[in-house]
Amino acid sequence: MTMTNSLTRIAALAGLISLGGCALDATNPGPIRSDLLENRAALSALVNGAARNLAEGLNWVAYTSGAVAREIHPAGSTGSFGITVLQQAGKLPADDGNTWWNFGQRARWTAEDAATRGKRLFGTAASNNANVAQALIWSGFANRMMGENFCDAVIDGGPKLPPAHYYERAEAAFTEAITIAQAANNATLVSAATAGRASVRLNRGNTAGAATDAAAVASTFRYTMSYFQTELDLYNRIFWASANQPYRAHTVWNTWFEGYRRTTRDNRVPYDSSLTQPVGDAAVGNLGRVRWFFQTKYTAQGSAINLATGWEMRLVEAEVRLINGDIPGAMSLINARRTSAAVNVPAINATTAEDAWLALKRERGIELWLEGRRLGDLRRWAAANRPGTLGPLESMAGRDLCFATPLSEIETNPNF
Amino acid sequence: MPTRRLLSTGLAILLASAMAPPLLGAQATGGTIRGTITNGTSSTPVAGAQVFVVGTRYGAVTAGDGRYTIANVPAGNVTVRVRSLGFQPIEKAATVADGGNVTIDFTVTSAPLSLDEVVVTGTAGSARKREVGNSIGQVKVADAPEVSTNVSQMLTGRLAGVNISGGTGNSGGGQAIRLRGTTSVALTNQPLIYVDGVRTRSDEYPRNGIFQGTTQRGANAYGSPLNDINPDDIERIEVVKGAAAATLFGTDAAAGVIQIFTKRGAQGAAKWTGQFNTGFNELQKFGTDSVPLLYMDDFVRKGVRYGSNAQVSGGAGDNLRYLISFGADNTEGVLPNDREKKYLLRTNVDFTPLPKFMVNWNSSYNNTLISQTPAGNNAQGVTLNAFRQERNYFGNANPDTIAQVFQQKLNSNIDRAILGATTTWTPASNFNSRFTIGFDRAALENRNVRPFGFPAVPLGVIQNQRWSNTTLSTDWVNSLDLTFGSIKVTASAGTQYVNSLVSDVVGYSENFPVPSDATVATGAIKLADENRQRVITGGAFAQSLIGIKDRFFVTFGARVDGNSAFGNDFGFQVYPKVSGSWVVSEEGFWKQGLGTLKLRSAFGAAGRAPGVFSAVQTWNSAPYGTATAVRPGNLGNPGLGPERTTELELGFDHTIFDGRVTTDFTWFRATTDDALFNVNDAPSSGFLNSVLRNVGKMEKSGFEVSINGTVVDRPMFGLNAGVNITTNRSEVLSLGGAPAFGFGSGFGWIIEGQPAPVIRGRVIRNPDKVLAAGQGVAASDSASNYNFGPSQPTHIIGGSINVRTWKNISISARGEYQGGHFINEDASFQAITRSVKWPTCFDTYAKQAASQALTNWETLTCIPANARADMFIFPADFFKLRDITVTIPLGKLIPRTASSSLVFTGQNLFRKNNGMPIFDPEMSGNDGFNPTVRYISEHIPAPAVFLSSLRISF
Repeated sequence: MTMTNSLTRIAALAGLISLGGCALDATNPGPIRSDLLENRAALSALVNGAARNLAEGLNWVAYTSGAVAREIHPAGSTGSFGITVLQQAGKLPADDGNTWWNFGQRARWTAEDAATRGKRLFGTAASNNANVAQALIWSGFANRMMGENFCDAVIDGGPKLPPAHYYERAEAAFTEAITIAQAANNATLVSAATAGRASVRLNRGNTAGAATDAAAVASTFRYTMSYFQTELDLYNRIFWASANQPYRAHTVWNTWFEGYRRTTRDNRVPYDSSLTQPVGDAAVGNLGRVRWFFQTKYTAQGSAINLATGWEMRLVEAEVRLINGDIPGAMSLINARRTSAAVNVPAINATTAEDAWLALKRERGIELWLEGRRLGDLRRWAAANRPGTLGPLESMAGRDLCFATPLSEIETNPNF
Repeated sequence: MPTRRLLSTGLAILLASAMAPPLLGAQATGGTIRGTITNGTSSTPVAGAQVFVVGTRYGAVTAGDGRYTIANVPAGNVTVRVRSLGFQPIEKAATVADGGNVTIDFTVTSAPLSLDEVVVTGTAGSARKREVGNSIGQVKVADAPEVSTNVSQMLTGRLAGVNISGGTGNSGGGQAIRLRGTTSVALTNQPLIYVDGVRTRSDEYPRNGIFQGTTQRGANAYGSPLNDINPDDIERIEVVKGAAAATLFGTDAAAGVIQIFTKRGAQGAAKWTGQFNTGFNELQKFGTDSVPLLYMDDFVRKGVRYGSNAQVSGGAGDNLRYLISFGADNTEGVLPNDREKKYLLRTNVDFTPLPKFMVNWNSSYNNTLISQTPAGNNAQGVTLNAFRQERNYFGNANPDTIAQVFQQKLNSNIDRAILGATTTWTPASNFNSRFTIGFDRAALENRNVRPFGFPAVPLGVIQNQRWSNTTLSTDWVNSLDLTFGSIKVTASAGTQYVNSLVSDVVGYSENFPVPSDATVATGAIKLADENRQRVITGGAFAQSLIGIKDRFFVTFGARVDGNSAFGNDFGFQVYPKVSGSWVVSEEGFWKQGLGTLKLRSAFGAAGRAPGVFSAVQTWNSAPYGTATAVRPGNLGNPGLGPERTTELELGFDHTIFDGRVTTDFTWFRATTDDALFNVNDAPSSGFLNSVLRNVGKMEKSGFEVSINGTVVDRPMFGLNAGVNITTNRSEVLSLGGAPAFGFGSGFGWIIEGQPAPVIRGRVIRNPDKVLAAGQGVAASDSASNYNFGPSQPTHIIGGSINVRTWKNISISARGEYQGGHFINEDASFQAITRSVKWPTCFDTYAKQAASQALTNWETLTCIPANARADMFIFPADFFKLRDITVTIPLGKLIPRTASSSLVFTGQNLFRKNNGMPIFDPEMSGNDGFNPTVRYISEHIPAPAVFLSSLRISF
């Protein structure tokens, strides 16, 4: 073979190699193709994903709504883990971020998708499948969170609806979950769904239904949203944003709870202070540096947030009684919790509707402190014009009672 | 025999024996031609000129003293030709006798515009400039007298239409490149970068941050792969700026192409050159007159620089040429922990085993060690805490307290190898086949350690990221020349293939048990991450170049491309091109006094491929604690294709006054159809991530003018001056029904009828209106959603001047003005809203103390409760003195050298803002080279650089 022939063959080979580049498919590992989830084995991961999404949504909503509702006071940061300048002023406008809405909607959508997918994958076997029940429960709590905290309801790119639409979806999800969980003999899920439905029925004005559901839940019952140390997004945001390191972004200073705790030592609204870090991590507007009294309800990155508790159910029952004019009955339920060994603070003596409603409003504030529930309560009471005027540090005059639908939805949803 | 000669001879023998022992011919006989090449204008020797015997492979490259020697030239009548960039080719006849010596000296004259100069980038194979219908920017080493610190610096302010900006004052930081502004708003705008025909990485290296959560715990500076190339290895750089010229590069070339050509050896004895650099970096004022360094005075230093380069080049026998270079550079940054050490090695070998077959081998290896100081928008960085004084995250402005952040160790280790082999087979005089295979591997280790006892994380945190990018490319080009009378046709066809893999593995842990030198294994809580993305592009092209009378040229061709990231419903993509040129000055009617003129026009298309996962609907693994979990990732788009940019260029190249004045004018209009936009679906639909859709249409247009002139050219005095003017106007023509959307951190928006992108924010109207006591700012005095203007400059004016004086001592300077664009300066907002006593508000505070009335502007931007982030948008206009260089030729002053020179350079010496009160408008925020708009965060700007260099040729 001559050198020229060799070169000719080498050139031809090079050309073939080069043309071989026409195999242009590349399979990249990592993200999971959607079609691979059409599999019964995937349901558990889908349900857990819904849980995670709800955890992240609640993480943001509970923190920011707590600041706007005056459960906590800003102490510095306005950026990451901080409270924006507008939120510090009690404003939740459409153009001041969208994470709360986006995360909440994702939580709602993924839970509803998981439930729908579970029923499709399991067919009739879904009727006693605990994973399907769990998906429905996450769906219920996600819808409840949206209903309690957002001004509008929007479902899957649809039109703007009243926020009560979330409650309808939540109640439907909880009702279906109760049925499936009972068939699956899962008492915890039954109680969680029942407690969730009680709170939703209260918001919908179905007082009888709310009281019935609440009564079915034991006072010691507690159903929580878990948080974890495994990654920053799953840190309990309220804890992490008030931890000394890296942030001291909020404080209990200058809230109603500061004085209440100091007076009563009620362990449901605990906070502490630091000798070495007396003030928050940065200046707060015209107030400058403010005292840093850090909440200690959540003491670690992995501290869970309550979704439903038996003691909340007692307060649901108390509110129903107040609505029905039964002040002694309501105060009895309120004081049962206050005088319990676990809390041990003085009972409240209220004989007028004004005082009783004030006691209930404050007791819910104490019991559900920093759980993302306060704006919903305040809005429900304001809409029904309930008596019980809150004090200056609790006043919401000039402050928003719900998150406006953000630009991220308004600008992308042609049906809105 | 001197050691270096022994080394070079040995090296040459080694290379020759390693590469071609059976193929070398017998010992050649013949004569020797030697001589000197001199610049006819300055009477100085011309180094690096190619001298060769026409029709043979015998040749040499002149040394620093302009001398050359060609040995073993076959006896007979020969023609010796000289070619050197920037000079007119010249040739002389000679007669060589066996064993004889012939001396031929040449005096060359400058030729800023040579229509017969060969260019490569954007053409099929190569073409003479006269044949090319599009503009090609060129930077020649001879045009860059300064001591180059890196390739980005070499390009900065040098070519019309080329904008190098961004970056910070941290060691290891690189800069983004924009050719003719923004081409894409969703994908990278970095041009493709080729080195000696090998496709290399052009996007930035990942920053040394944290992979999840609060990612900015580092220096927030991004390295540029372009700066791995030793600037002293470069012979020239070709730049094609848009789709009209880059069509043959196909998908991914819409933002243009930069091709770097490194120096090569030539026949003859080994030529040695050396360069020794010393100098320092110094931070210049970027604050106010009263606080010029924004409280960074206690944390910055003069950073010492020193480095050296050595090159040897030559040839062994008549079929082997080589160039070997080695460089080392050590640069201290101005921040305390900042340091960059580079070691660079290059070997280029050209080998001709057979008369019709040539092999060019290029290899380079670079090792860069970077240490950085935590900075940027980083609560645990020095800049943020220094800027914010007692309102910082320590609650304390004491420098010793802030200096605790220096405990964080940020180290990056970059290994970069670029290997390329090109074979050129010329079986007939009118046909050649060229095949290039290239391999580029960049491997990076980012190590980020906050030790036990670090203030913000007392138990410590460590992360180690191992990242790599491997690119395998092939390029096969075949060309056939056919002549029919006065018509010459060059038909070309070929294929290209690029296979790129980017992957990383991250180990992270926190909570160390004791103070110790930690590894990821030390921490109690451990996390890991892995990403792998492979992209394959393959294409074929065909092109015909038709030349008539060597004056009219028409080129038409097309490239067909496929890409692994295209959607399943999307097939191959075709990119056509057509261009023409006319050398008017060679027509009979042209008067010689009008100089040389070439008219040109080009039309072509190129693309930009979407990301690897963009077409597929995916879910992501997102564990919930220890439980497996998935959630929506990318909505996907099976119809996804590349965005296509078509471009029309019209222009001319003109010289007059015997080549003393050259003008290069280009007008362009580029339209991007099917522009990829990150379209957000309604969050209520569940998928929060935006999805790429080919929905938009954008346009940009402008002109580029370069005028260079030799004003005075006397033996004892010369004056050259040049000016580059660039304009660029962009507009979003259509959003395809998608709503306007914002992106990035700098208030960039994509809005129909506005520049792409436009900076949108809150405008303060009547800023100087004085408010009465107790009067607030009227609602009508500020308005949100105001479109300020483009994020990219609309006009750039660059000027250069070179003065040659006594003893050929020369002084050169370059300056540049950029304007018409806007930028968000976020550092001031962040400080003011935290009640930091901010230097731009000192006058306001004084007025408040004196109970004097404030203006609208002062009330809104200096009172914490009033400030809004989107108020801090400023015109980004500025003038910069890019560099001043003094070159002192030393001739043979240093014994036993062929020549030497001393060079003193000052870079980045002076800046004048026109609109933005503080900071450098060219700075970056925490973002990299990505398509989002730049903004300014808590960084320091790039420092001034003062360098001296001793350059020696042997």
